[in-house]
Amino acid sequence: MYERYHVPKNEMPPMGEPFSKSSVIRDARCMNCGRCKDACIFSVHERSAADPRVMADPKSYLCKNCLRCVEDCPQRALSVELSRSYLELGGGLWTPQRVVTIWNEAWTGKVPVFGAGYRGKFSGTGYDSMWTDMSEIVRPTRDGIHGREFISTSVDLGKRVDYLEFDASGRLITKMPSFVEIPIPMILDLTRLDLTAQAKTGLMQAAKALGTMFIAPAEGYLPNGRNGSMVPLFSAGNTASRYDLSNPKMVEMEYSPDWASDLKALKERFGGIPVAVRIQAKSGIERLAVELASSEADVIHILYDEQSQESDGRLAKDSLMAVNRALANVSLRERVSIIAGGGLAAAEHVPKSLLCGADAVTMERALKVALGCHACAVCDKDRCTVDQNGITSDWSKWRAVNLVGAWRDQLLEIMGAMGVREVRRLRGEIGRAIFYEEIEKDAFANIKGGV
Amino acid sequence: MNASSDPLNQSASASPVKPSINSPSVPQVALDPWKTQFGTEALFPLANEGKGGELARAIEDLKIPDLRVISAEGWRALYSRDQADVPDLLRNVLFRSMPGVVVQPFSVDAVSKVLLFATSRRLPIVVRGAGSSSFGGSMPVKGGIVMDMNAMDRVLDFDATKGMVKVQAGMRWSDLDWFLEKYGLMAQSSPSSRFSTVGGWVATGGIGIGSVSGGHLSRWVSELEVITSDGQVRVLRPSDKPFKSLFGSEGRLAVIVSVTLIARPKPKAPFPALVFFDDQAKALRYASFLAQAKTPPLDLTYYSPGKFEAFNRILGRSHFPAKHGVMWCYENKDAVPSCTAVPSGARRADTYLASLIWNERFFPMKFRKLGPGLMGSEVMVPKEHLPEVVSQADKVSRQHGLSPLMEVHFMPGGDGLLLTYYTTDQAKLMRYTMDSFRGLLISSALMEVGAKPYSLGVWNNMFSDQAKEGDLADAKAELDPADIMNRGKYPRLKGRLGGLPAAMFSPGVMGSALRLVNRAGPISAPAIKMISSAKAFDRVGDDMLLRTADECSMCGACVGVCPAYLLTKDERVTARGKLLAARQFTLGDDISKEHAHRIFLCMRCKACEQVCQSKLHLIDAYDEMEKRLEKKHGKDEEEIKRFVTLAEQSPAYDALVERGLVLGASAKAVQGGK
Repeated sequence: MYERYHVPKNEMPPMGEPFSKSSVIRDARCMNCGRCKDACIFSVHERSAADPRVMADPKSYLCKNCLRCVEDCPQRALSVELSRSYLELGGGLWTPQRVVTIWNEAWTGKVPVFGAGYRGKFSGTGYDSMWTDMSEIVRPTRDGIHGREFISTSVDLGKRVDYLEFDASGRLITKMPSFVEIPIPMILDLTRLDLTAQAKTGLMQAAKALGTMFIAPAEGYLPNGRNGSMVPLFSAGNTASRYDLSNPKMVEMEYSPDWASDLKALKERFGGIPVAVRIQAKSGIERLAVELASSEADVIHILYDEQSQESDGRLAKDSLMAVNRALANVSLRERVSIIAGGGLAAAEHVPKSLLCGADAVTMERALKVALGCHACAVCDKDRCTVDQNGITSDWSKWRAVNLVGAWRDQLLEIMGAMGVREVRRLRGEIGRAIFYEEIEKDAFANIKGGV
Repeated sequence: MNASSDPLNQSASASPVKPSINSPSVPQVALDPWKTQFGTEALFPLANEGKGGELARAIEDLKIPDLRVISAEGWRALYSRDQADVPDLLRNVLFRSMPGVVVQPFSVDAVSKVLLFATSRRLPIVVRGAGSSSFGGSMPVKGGIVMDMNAMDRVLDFDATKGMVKVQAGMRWSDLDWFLEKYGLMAQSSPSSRFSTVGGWVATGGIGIGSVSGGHLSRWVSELEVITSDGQVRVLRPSDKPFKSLFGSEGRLAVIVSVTLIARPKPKAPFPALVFFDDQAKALRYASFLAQAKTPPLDLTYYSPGKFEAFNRILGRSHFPAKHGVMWCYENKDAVPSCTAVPSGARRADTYLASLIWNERFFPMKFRKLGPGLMGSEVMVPKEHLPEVVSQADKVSRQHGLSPLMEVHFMPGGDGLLLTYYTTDQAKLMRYTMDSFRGLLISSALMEVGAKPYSLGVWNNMFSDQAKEGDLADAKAELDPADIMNRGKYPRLKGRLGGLPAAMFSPGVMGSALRLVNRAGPISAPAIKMISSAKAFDRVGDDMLLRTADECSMCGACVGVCPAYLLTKDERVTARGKLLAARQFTLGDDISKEHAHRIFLCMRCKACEQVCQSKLHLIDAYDEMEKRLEKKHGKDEEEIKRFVTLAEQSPAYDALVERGLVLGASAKAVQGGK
């Protein structure tokens, strides 16, 4: 029987004191009138349990920065400021806001609320310079997205044939390529994550719970974490590595100059399932993609760094569009699926990656952040304040499930607003996106002294 | 019974007066939404256990609407004193100062019915405002009924074009000014205790800050509504005979229920100045001259060097020279007439000093902190006797080893109200007791050189003025033939033990005794001093709570801003009430469990701390007090919860919060306001 895909969520508060993005400060002018209690819908302000006559210290970590309490305070006793520790979070693409948002998503599994409105800038680099076309934003209702209206987030990974051939008797004679369907365009990639065994085990369980897959090296993993959701990754030249799970849905191999022989070996070893080729993005990636698409490879997994860049600086947004266009130009786009990984720091990066040409994305650092990582600009183990030792597999699992669930809900919101009911339809659909460079040109190119 | 012939019915129709607003510029809103306008049922229900006795039960049995009957002992005890620090010895032994019952009317009708009851039993009835006088006028001397007018505190009618405002008698002057300020108006004068009630000032005097321009209070009151002992409402206008008599009648004629006042425009940039003199007579002559000028200043006050020394001690720095100062204030800088030119030998103080003194004019009681304790004498002085009386006050005080803090508030024409205060130490029982006699000695000595009594109450009873008493007797015959109003004090004080001890305070006995002691000053003063210095009864050790309680000036500023008081109309929840209780139990006299639980009804809003003129650390004191009381009596957590919930849901509390609890706080706390 058909069952609608649904991500079960389970509130999983952070270990230790929750992080406070804002410091809500109650100064001596407070007269304990309780108006802030009524003003705050996030329960930042409550009366003290020990003595209801006085207000308890504000629970800053619940604050969404809406400043309603500040507005309503008759004594002007409240102020809200961004905490220092907040401003010190992350680095580059991983802004403090994105880090904290991931934490909150991993905690509650809910769509984030930013509260104080959007106050610009209205453009930035990379994905920040593009918007999805939300012309249908008035149409879907919440009930529509999550209820009556069916929006599919399933994607297929693998080859597609250009056409079908039938014999005279009407029997299909085209040899159907192998592909794998996952209910969400998000795969967990644990390969590059430096995490404890417990934490990784949890992420593996999360992938299973979500019905998606996780990528991990074929060797060296704890057996108890392995399950049918695993995509084993074979390093170059090691296609014969021992791998005791008999039925992976997909396998992945590292790209190397000898990629063709590795690919052949894996095809032989795991006949009938898609093989992905994992490749570091650098200049000329589009030519490589065309080469791979012309081969037996089913999936190209392009890795960007965590700043969403190729190794020599081109942005993933531009890189993916270039790959997509290059493949389309030679009519090979349907021959291969593209997974993009690296630099996905917010839910919006999923649909934006798809719009630029990916079929699916891998989540990496976002998972680590969900487990408490601060995404510092430079990861320095000596200065790291995150204690991974307390992480249990269960906690890790639910944090990841919550995060992915929240991202999928946001994907649904965006698709609903775009009027798109199939996530497959988003792929490469740059016509449904708006690019800052283009509209800037539209607006100013004809003006003397303009762009 | 025919409705029109029923006096109670008549008064009922007059009671809940709907605000009628005549000026189109006034928005049609409730005039004072922060006030209790819901009657007794909106109050936080308080346990009223305790030995109420037959009297309380009898009144409760009448089931008078809009009336709260207070019988609990700890609660009633609040009404057995006023602002004055009078050693218990004097108060309790000489008089029956504990009322049999206290009633809080919320409507004119309730006042009327209580009066009928009192008349039917010939019970003494003492009407009480803020209790901020210090001569015992609102203190019972023969038990009976105390009527607390504080719940009737609303603006009834307002006409911005005429500057006319009609208020209930329990309205506080500070609240009235807050109300008028919105329309650019202010009261023409106000008592030095701004936290006292309008009705209270009518009954006790009418001379204070701003009198030099506004004149006596009676000059700008256009109507008084009173209830006489037969329960009838009477509306008195200046042309009516008893009108004048009610001013300073000290509650012995009728219950004042509403007062109609004519306000004046509030100056936008008042211009105060302070002039220092080396010579007292010159200072007084200068002030007198200004008071008699064609346009008298808004404010005119003489301050003695002792007052400035006390200021310096409070401020912790020598800002002021120890000289004779005259502070005047005009509408604005341009309105200052040439007659203010500083005479030779005098000196204008810096502007900031003038402003400081001018702003401090409402807080005369803060010097109590220096004792801790403040006592004094208040007398009216005709202008021709002024220099002599003031120098006499100085001399007599010094004879007794006191450094007097004197101030003279001027009337148009040059008469003045002389306040002579001195600090005392409540921790030193003998000194404290003797000091309370010294005030009488000073007053007595001043009468001899031409001063007249101002407020009599109990302690100044012996100074009563025969001529004035005659007038009052006529008015009393007309308004209170049943003789229930403040009975037992006037014309001759009565009290316990057949009135014998009270007779000590009669003009014949105490008056002459005081004269005698004063005449023997050089001998008697050292003798009193010797007794005062006996240390046998002094308190030992230093209790922070007791010290705070002693430093409290009992001015009642905290009462008007207290949200807990707003919700309970029970003074025991206010800072003043709590500190009284603190003094009681720190001195070893336990308070009841019911009373102890009242102490916990507090929103911790700190409004009391902000208005406290003695700048007491009240919240610390509450914490300490609660800690001790909880140990002994526990605390009623359920009641506290209910109280907080009620506060949050109460529209009256909401309006108080909106107003900023402390007058004007929200608008002025942050630039631009809300």
